[in-house]
Amino acid sequence: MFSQYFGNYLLNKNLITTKELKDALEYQKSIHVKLGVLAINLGYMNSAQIQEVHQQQMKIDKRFGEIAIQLGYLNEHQLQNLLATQKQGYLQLSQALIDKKHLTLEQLQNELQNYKNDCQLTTEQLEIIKQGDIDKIVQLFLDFEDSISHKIYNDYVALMLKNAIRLLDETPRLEKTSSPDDYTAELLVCQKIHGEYNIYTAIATDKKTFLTIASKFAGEQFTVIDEMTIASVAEFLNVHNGVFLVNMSNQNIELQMEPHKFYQQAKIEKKEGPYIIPIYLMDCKFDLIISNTELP
Amino acid sequence: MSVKQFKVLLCDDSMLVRKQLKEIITDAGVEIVLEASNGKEALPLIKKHNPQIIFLDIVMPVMDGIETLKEIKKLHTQTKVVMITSSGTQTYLKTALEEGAYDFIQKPWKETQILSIIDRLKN
Repeated sequence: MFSQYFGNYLLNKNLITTKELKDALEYQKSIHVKLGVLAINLGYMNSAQIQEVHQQQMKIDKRFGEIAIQLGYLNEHQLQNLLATQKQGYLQLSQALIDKKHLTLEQLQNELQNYKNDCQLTTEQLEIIKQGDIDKIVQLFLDFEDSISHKIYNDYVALMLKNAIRLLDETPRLEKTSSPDDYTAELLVCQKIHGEYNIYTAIATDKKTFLTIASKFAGEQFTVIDEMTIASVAEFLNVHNGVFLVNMSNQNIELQMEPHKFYQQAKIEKKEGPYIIPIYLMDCKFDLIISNTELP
Repeated sequence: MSVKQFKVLLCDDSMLVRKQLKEIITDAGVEIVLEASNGKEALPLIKKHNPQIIFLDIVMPVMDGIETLKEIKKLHTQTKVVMITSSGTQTYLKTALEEGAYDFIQKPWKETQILSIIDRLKN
């Protein structure tokens, strides 16, 4: 996740072009060492076991290591070994930029320091981004004033980032929430969650992002906004909310959800909230909206 | 009974889900796949065609999956109802099984889960 933040910073400073960043991120994928691959290399697990853990990850919000331990494929000591080996992961964008000759080593060192200073990050905060701990990154960027729902909202956003990785095969980047006085969503898919808490959830996008999400989730290329693309984005939100409900249910908080609703040119009123959270994907951005009052 | 003779009903408000499930089921050899986007649409199809399997979503407009399951129970059919939903909470799972659901699959499903149900019911 550090790659998305630092890469975007270099892009904004015109130190690299969009093409160079994409190139580096693509190259980075080829040198990214996943926990599963490390586990195979170290002889801890076989490929069938890795597949099973990945399949479980699609359904329950747990990390690879947690599931592998639960299934008896790894012990705690082996997991610690894997994590220690993988910890250098944040270096991969840097390595990719240097390998591809987009930056020199000296430039890279300077820009890492500039990034920390410009973003006014403490060493501890920079470390959080480098480690890519999604739960901590959410806490770093978001500040939900509503104290009752604070923890739940944090969990909800963290899960959305994880689901963007799992279900859309994207590497999302979170930015600070905004609460503009006047907000109109070009396309809006909403779903209400109710029970012990009432949470109104929505994905707001422009047409391009809507098609990107629909295509990635369905695994086929869509070019027009129609019933099928709406169904696809709605199902992405539905599956995400479903996993959230299961997580809550496991904490003995029983929630239900209602069927989705779709709107065009939807005006969101600023009452108490809502929280509008920009989430950046590789080529586009969507707003995740959560509110305790009805949307739109 | 061979898979070819099976009648399967897909009841889900998502056109995408119905399309994806239909592809898996027809590839498995089932020729008659019926579709409904909520429980109210599904009930007359069940009465008319008496399908062997229903894949039934829970969160749907008009008539949700749990209410539909209760109505299906009243029909005293041999139809096996497989709940297929994103919200696999303890409450939904418990209610569905109490109301006689044959199986419960949480979305996103794995193709083999769908195929194994057809395979089980074939034998």
